[in-house]
Amino acid sequence: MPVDTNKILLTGENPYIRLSPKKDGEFTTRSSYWRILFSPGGPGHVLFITSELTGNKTKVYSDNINMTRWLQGEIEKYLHAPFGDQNVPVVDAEFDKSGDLRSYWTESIYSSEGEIHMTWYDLGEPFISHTPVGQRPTSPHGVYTVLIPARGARLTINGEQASGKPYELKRESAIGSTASLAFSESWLGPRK
Amino acid sequence: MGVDPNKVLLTGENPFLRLGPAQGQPFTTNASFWRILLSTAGPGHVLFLLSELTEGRPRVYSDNINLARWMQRTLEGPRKTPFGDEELAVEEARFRSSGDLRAFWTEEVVSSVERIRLTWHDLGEPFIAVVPTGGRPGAAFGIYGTIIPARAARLTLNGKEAQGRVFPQDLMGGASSTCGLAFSETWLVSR
Repeated sequence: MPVDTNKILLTGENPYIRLSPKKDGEFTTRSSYWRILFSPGGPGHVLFITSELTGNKTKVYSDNINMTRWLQGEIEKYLHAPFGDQNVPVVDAEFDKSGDLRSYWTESIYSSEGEIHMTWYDLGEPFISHTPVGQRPTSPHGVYTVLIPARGARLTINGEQASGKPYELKRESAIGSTASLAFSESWLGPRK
Repeated sequence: MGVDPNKVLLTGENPFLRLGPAQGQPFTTNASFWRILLSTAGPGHVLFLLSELTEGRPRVYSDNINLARWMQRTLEGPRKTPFGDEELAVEEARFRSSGDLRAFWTEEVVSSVERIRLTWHDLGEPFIAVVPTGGRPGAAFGIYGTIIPARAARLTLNGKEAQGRVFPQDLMGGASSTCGLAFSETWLVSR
């Protein structure tokens, strides 16, 4: 199959950190970070997060509210419904990154509410994952992504560290994690 | 969900800009730009450029010479492009991108004596192209790329614009052009 004939909705990056106190336990921190290069809402960054550090409330930080609302309505509502709630205010923020993927990666978010730092380390072997359009029963989308699983992850809000750990997640022949860097990621939808 | 069993060699971006005097004629400008997020040689940027503006000689610009040499050895040399010669000097440079992919995109490369600007505009519909690893005779690599074709492009070196035009071109089975933005691009090799 040389060319996927479905419509490209976005391309960019979508690292995530999900921490829990034990394997298969409920997540005490769930975050979804997006660096969007191309979308109908334009380029930009957005962080969706809920954690014991946010009082278990959903928070949204972005430098492009238009892209954020589009992403909520088109994608996030299928991934994790609370992140798709467009009644949650969008806090204006600035975004920065650092690291070398042979070692660690950090995404930093600065807003009037302070600083959030997300770090992935002890990185595993990267692999390509492809979900064809129409294959998921809960979503009309397809995804191509490069997943770099992390055995270690840290998330801090104003210096306070979220509790819990990432855990291994088997993905067919590959070993994934509940904390991963999803780079070179493109989402597709059926043509109407 | 499917997992590709092959080994990821690199992931990043690879916009390209090739200009010629007429459809089917040899290119007078051939530029291959790389923004690498992940590779065994580290992250960084490389621009491979051959143009009448470089007197027809290949040039290499990078902010990671280790990455540039690894790319020459691993990708450019085996594919017999004009850029595989590791005797070529690697010019130290700074790299910066700007634009909005709904309109245009510019990559700027600044060395101690040169300023090169590559701009893609009049962008077409993006598509995903997949080359299976080992799926082409003589080609060891597999590729996943999100291609945004450009109907127009411009390359300048110290303010002087390269000649030639953009032409429509089939790329991995998709309607593309000789100038395109290849984002979310990943290269693989068999284990």
